[in-house]
Amino acid sequence: MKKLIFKINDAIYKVELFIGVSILVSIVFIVFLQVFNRFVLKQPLSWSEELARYLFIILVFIGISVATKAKAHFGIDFIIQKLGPRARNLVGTVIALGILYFLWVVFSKSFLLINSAMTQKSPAMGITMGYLYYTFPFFAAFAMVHIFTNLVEDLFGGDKG
Amino acid sequence: MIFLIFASLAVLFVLGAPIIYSLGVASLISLLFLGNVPLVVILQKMWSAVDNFALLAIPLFVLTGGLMEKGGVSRRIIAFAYAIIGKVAGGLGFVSISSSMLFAALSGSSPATVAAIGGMIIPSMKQKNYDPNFAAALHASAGSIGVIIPPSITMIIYAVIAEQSVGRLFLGGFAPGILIGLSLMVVCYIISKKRNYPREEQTSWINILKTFKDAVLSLMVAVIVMGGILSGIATATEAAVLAVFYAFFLSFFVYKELTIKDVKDVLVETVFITAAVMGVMATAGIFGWILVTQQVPQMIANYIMTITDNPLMVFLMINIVLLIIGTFLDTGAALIIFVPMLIPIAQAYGFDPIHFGVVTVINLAIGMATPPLGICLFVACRIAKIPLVSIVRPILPFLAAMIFVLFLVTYVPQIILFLPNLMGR
Repeated sequence: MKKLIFKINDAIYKVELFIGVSILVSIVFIVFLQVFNRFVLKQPLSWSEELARYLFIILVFIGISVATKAKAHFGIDFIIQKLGPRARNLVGTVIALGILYFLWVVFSKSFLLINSAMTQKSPAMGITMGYLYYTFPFFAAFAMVHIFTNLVEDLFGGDKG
Repeated sequence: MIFLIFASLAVLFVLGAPIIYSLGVASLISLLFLGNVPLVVILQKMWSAVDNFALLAIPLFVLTGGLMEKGGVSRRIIAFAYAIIGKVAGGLGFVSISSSMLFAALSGSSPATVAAIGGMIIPSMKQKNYDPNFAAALHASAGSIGVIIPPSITMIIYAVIAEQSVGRLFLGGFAPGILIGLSLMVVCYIISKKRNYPREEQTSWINILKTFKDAVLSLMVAVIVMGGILSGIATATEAAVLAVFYAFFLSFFVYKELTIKDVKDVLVETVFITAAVMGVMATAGIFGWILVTQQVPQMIANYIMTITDNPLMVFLMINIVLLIIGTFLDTGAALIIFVPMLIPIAQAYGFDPIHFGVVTVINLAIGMATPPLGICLFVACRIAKIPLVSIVRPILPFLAAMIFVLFLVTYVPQIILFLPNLMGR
């Protein structure tokens, strides 16, 4: 069981990282194309700014999840380091539950947002905003898996099965 | 209500929850308490907090810095600084301050500057019997110039929140960045004289020219960025993209030190840093919005105005508050939470928005080098392999020098505004 959770967690992480890096590279080329078209070809692109901006937002949310798995978010942990292992686990569990609840709210409310934006089009490219907001349920679901796995790891040890 | 939101945030911080989630959970608690706000607002505010084209410059500058770093740029900059300035007493200290200033012109981040320059110089300082605590303190303070001399991630965030021009803010950062560098050099010289730190050997003009030739291609990045913005060819984001391409070609084809694996590592690293910086902005977006709906910014502004109506005193109070905030809070979060509170005050007293922005950024930069929680301190201590407590005393003279410059540029706005005003609007 534990092994399976770790496996799923790692698989999600790899996919996220791949998407994140691909988006980053795409942004670099899109923005370059934007300058090139405007300044060299004198034919400004109408869609590049918007596309790069939406890709960036998706990158940010995927990145938040990735950094959650890697425990790369800033935090003040030197106070908690002073606690004994049992107290630390207790505090860690409470915090993880709080974060899971926050992410659950994001997940469950995301469908409200998506449905309300199904008729709303982006100004330049005419993308349905509802599709873009699918970023939220994926982000929240993945991040919940990472938080949960990190908690399991802290409480019951690493991936020794 | 206001007590609840700040108290829950403080408790979450102390218990070690990541700042990004502390802001999210504290906001959620307040919204549940208020009860009359639909929770979907959380998603809307997170989205709009990061929905801005200017912010794309952040990953792009991080990427540029990473590519340059792997391409061997910091080594070349240090060699150049060494040739020029190594021969004074405590020469290595001067080398690290001047290298940090040059690196700041390529990188938009203070911790990255500490890591790049400190990672190379701190070990050799230890070898030459410098006190490692002094070495770490020196690099932590010099590195904080990273966000003052453009490009600067912190300035981009400020510009977005305060709706100011990124280019003008960038220009405003030059003079104070150089002044802080010089003031750190003075402190470094006095301490080095007292402790008899060694001079480095005299080098020839030919060597200076040679190292300059090596370094000048790297420093061209700064010219591309500022030139692109100032000439109107590119926005800050677009200039950053040009810098990415330049950095890649330079490191890969000219210096030939960058490998494909390095590129992959830098890309992954950039995703992480972007997420850490922008993620905090996203959740701080909810938090800041709640404060605004509760009219906290006005309350604080009114409160400050009841204490004094002398603009100089107000600026002094703002500086002190920002210094404290900068120590405890990540700069992105600090900006998005506090700038909306400070701007009405600044407007009421007629402070120039660019002047005020640069002063804010300097405050937060100093905060990054201030015990107990400055991020630059952590990075420098990790490199020097010393515990955090031992950097506290040696950093004090450097902090004093930086704060002196802070007050100088606060009360003589022309130092900051001279360059942006040349550019016009």
